[in-house]
Amino acid sequence: MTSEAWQIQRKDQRARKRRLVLKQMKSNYFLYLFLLPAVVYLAIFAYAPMYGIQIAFKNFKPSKGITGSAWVGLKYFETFFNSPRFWTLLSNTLLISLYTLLAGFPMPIVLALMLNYIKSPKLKKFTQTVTYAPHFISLVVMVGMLNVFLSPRSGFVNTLITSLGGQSVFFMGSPDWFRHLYVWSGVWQSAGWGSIIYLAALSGVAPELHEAAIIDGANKFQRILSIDLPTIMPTMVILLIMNFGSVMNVGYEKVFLMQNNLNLTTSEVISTYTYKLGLQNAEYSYSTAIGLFNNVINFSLLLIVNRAARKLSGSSLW
Amino acid sequence: MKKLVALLTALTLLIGLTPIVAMAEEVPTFTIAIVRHTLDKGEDIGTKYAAQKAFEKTGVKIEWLELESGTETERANVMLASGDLPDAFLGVLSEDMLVKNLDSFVSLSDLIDENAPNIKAQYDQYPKLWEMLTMTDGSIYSLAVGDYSNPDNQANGIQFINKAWLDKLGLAIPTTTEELYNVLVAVRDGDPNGNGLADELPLIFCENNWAAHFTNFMGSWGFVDYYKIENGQFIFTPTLPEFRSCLEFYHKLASEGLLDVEGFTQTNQQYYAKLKENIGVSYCGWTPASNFDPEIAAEYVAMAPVQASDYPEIKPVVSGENERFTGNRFGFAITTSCKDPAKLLQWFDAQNADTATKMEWKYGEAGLLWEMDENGQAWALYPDTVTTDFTRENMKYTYGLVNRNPCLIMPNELEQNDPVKAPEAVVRLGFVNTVKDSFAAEVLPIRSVPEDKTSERALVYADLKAYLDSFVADCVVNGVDDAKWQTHLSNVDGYGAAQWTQWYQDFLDGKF
Repeated sequence: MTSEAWQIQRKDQRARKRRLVLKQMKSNYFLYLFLLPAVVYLAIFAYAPMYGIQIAFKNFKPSKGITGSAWVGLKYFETFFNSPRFWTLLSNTLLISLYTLLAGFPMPIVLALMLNYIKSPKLKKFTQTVTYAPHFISLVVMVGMLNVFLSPRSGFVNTLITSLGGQSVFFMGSPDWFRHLYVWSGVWQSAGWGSIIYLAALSGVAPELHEAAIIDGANKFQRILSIDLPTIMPTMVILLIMNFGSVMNVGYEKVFLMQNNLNLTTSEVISTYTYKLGLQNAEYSYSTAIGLFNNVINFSLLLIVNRAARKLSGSSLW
Repeated sequence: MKKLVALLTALTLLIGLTPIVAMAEEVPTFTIAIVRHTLDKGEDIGTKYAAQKAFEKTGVKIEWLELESGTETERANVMLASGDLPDAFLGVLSEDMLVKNLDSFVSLSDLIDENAPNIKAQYDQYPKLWEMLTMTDGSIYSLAVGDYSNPDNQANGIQFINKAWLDKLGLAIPTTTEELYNVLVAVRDGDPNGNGLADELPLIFCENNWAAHFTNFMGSWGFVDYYKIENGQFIFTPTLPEFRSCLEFYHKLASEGLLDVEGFTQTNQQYYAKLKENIGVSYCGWTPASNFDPEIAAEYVAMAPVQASDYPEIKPVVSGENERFTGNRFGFAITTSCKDPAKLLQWFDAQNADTATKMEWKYGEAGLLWEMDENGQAWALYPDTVTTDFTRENMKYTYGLVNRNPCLIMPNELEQNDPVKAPEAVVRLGFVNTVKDSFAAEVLPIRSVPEDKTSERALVYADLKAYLDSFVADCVVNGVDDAKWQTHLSNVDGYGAAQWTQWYQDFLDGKF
């Protein structure tokens, strides 16, 4: 076959494929209709605002508008990289996020597995309700509770410590304690809620598998390892990738609420810094540059983890 | 038939609407963004006495865009960035917000002569105002509001001490840091609140309360901020040996349970609750009456800053300034969205025509919270109808706008307090007079700076302040040794200390 004839044939194939896709879309149009709101939502609220990213490279003046402001190139990125606090901010952000991920990711799985093996339905329901409940406490209240419970003078934790003969600890004012408090209060608050999705996945395990395993003399731990975990593996991987995608987006509200001058060395993260500069000092270009830097790192992490997950477990986001 | 009826109904409705539409067009209407104070228990601002009277007098309708207190900076910044502007801002803007967005505001310089005779007369009487309000491009974009100079506001947070406890323990009001230390120890060990528990926590402060910042306690060493001005020189204080000495003193207090270190972490509410527990002997605030029940408040007296025992040559200072300008320079600014700035300026000027109008904006209708005597002097009234749910402070903000009003109250117009009828009203002034000899001799001048300069200062200070605040807090709680101090000295320029100092030196020298 000549190369020309081959090309014509390929073109033909592609056209046929396109026709097929269109035909399928047409016959399933109602499914696309369901998809439409989500696409429109993303286009308006996630893609359209990206137009504004350019102010990271401009000296943005509100009165001149986005297009009218002067181009300054990488000036604001350089300012940030040369800032004395750059490395502190970056390492604080990464440490807190990775710690959150390491502590927060396995907890709901463990909890779900435990709940799954509870025989009494009443106890199971009760435990579930108790573990979900903290999810509904607002962050402001949550941090207020931390402040009150952990007060070195009147908090019950310190009262307990001193009554046992220990030294009272100034938890909220210690940079060393900040990360632990942030992460473990988060785990306490979200583990129960996070376990729901795993419980749902676990309910899909065929009971015959368990019965067979019991007959073969497998104990509970062996059943978890060989039956339950492989079943929920795809769910775990997807959730892990999604969690990695937001590694750098440390929830700024909670950090901001827990911040004070004493723990600032570990509690200042990129998002709180961006908030302080951007909204409080109106340095829009500078804070956009920092935010963009943050998101570029985030996006690269997402790509890396997605690829790794595909190689290792066969399931991935795309 | 049905169609005909429908058509007729629609027509009648339309005809009925036309006069309303026509009327709405006739009344000049402006939108003014304003902060709604948390103590205001009234309905919207348009229902206030002065606002309604202004409408009757000028025929200009104002639509008040009320911003929730505490969110105003963010919301105004968003409005300025998006270009979705009200016709004017009243008591919302800060220097940075105005300077960075000058293009969004109308220059009033050429409008004042023709449209604002009252304003012009006031400013001519106090020419310092022209100087303060003129931006670096030579134009005026904002007009001042509030009290031109309120003697109560000359000082900020004042340190108070419980005299009744001192008497009980047989101690005098301390005058040096050494005496202060002894007083605090005696309070810690002497159980002056008499509840049989060693729960006294002598010295209390709160970083989240504007009047109770830790820096108030630094006055003994000659500064109440990270700078002081001497002989026209801007001096950066955190590298001075006396700064270290100050930190060491408070670390000693902290480590011996004499200073409440939770001041660095607690919220304002927790701080107020702690004061009410009656466990402290000394704190900083506005007046004890706003923190305690009356009988306990009466036990407190104001305390001049104590002399640093290790630096007898340093004169202690208190944050404040004699005859300080207490108005808001960025009080009223008209934006480029306003279709008829001259008309709006005329409206503003009309609110500054006489003392009575100004007082109505400040405290509401005469006879409630103020009255005028036959000489035209305004006097504050203290009605006995106050309840704990509706205090005099609630009344002030519910009837009037207090200091975010569209007028500038000149010193001769300021309401007076009758010491016989309302002795509690002159208490604050008494406290101010106790400490006023300790105000710093030199202060920063009030002058506008160009936009690139405000940006430069904001960026440097954001990092520097965060570093210093956390260094101070760390040293007070954990102490400071030679190594830590040396690291601090070599680090501080990395955070922009030299740049910041140079900025203010140039400002003092009039270089911009």
